[in-house]
Amino acid sequence: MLQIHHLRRRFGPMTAVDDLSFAAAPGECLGLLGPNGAGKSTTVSIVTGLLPADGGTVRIADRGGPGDPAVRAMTGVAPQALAFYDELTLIENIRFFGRLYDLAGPRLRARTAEVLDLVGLSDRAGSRAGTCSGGMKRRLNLAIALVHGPRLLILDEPTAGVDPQSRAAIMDTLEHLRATGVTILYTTHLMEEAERLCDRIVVIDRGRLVAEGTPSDLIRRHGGPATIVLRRADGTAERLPAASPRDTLLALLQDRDVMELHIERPTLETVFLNLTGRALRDEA
Amino acid sequence: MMHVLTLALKDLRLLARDRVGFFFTCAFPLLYAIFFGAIFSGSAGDRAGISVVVADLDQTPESAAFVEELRASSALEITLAGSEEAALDHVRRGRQTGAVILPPGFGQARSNPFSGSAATLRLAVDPARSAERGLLEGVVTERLFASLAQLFGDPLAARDLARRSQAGLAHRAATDPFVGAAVLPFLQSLESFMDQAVQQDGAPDDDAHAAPAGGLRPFAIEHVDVARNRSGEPPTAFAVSFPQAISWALIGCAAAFGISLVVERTRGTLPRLLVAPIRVGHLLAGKALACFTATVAVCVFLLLVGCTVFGIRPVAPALLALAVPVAASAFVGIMMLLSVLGRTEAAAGGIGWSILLIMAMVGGGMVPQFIMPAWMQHVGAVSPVSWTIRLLDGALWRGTTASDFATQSAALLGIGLGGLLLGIIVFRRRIAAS
Repeated sequence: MLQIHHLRRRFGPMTAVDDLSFAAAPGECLGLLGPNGAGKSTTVSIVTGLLPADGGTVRIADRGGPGDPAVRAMTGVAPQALAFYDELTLIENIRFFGRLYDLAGPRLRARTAEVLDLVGLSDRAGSRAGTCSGGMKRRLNLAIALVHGPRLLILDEPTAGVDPQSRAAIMDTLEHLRATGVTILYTTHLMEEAERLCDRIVVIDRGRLVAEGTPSDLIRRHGGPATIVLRRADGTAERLPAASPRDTLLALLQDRDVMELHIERPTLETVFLNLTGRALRDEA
Repeated sequence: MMHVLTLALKDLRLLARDRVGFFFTCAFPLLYAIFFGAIFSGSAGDRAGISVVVADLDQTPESAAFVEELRASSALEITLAGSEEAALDHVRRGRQTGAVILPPGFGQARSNPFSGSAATLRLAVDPARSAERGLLEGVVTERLFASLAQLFGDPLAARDLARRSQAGLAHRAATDPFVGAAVLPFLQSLESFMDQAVQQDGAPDDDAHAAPAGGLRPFAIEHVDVARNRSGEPPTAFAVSFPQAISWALIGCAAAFGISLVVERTRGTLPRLLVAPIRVGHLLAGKALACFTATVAVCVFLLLVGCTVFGIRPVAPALLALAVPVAASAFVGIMMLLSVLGRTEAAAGGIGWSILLIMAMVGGGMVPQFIMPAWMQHVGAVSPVSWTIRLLDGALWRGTTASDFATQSAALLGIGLGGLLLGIIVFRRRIAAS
């Protein structure tokens, strides 16, 4: 569905994207992870056609690049910024963008109602967008990207700055979309979201691909050993790396000083830190 | 085309819901037109006095004294003319409200009120200005009566007047029975009365000098109607203030839509529009169409108010119907240029309004150009506001020739096209570089 080959983009002396290649199969949810300045936004901008690439190609649905109107028509984009009009109502916003994708009449009305229902905003359809909460605005941002029924959905941190309820609603929506065969390119800093939603993950840093695979693959290959955390009778705590947690655990159980212990398995965040050597930015 | 219409409708809807933007594009121009129209309409009556030109054809000490008496009146602003025709021409051209003509013999007749011939003067006023005419006649009459009352308030002067009048009328006593039987005995009694007053070294009281004057008609006023030539002058101050207000509406629309394009960029809706299956040209055309539609709508609204409420009668309605879209086109181009001048909302607003206000200032949007010094009018010719007001003035009240209208329209369309092309080129480059 989405093929990126040897993509390059420079901004003056800085290389934002450096020979990046990856692909997303139809119906797949591909996570694009990377620290700040890794080149995620530049990659997304090139994939959506907002930025030209200095080199390499982007092909969508075997048709062409993002400059092709037919390709754009099958692509939905929910940018990180809340990209709609505060002065318009939710329904006006969705209908406006739907018309730009050549929806009209009963079809437009039906799709508007569907996406409002999908993101749980039907009861606020007539409210001005500016009066909605942050979570509602995020859901509206997503609804606008969905109104024309895209086959490829590009989501740039779609849950940034929302409350847990809205995040859960957005995740439910995205899981529903994935189940219906929509291909999703998903950038996020929230590893648990990526782990829950993404079939595969691409980790990039300094514009280059540093790892690619399913979440469990990445954890197995790059997560490192599990850690056993124990608390002794005198109140001190220890963290013990355990290449073989079972053997270490059995040994520790013989120790009468150990009052409490548990195993910390490596996560995507561990993978990320191991691969990029830097912490993710603060969660929004 | 549907995409362009969709984008334009969205922008119009946004404008309608933006209270500040709506105020500056619609309400402010209307307030401006009413406020300044009312000020200029009411100014004539609030001045220090009625402007009057006086032609003293008599050229006697008495006539000169009367001119000075008129000049002393706070109700009049007096200027002098050398001839009756010159004075009437002043009125005809509207430079003065009225003219007072003192014909030869006025002084002699005025100094001898019993000589049998009334001191006659002529008042020339535009018959359409009945209020000013009545006021001027009242002031002149009051001055004439005041001088007569002054005369009888001085016993010596009154006694001398009675003596001179008897001497002057003596030769008519034989031929005119009324003079012999009534006037001369009255003058003898008056002389005797005033003589006693002189000897008593006392001034007669008010009743004493009021009585002789009562019933006398020692002067006459002839009215001359001088129709004012109004060609080249606005029929009403609102005919001047409404074109200015329309220029403010154009400015308000250009600023509002110019800034809105920057807002699209800074708030993230522009990228979303650019990833939709529409062309950049659609986007800019939609913005231009919205600006054009809003501008024309506000202009039509202002003109309707001006015509129906404030009595403006366009001298060339067909040209006016052309002038509005021409002016709107010019400001669409200016809007497009303004939209690329600043990268942030604040910068675009600041730069845009600064440029537009200077355009308005030198172009006659704040004060009419015809009251500016000549050099400032030349400077103002570079402003699209000046061209717009001239175009609208020509169609509304000034009258215009086909070549003048074509020249002004071409200038405005050129400004619009230039701004549009430059704005589109810079906008496209920015998108490509961002």
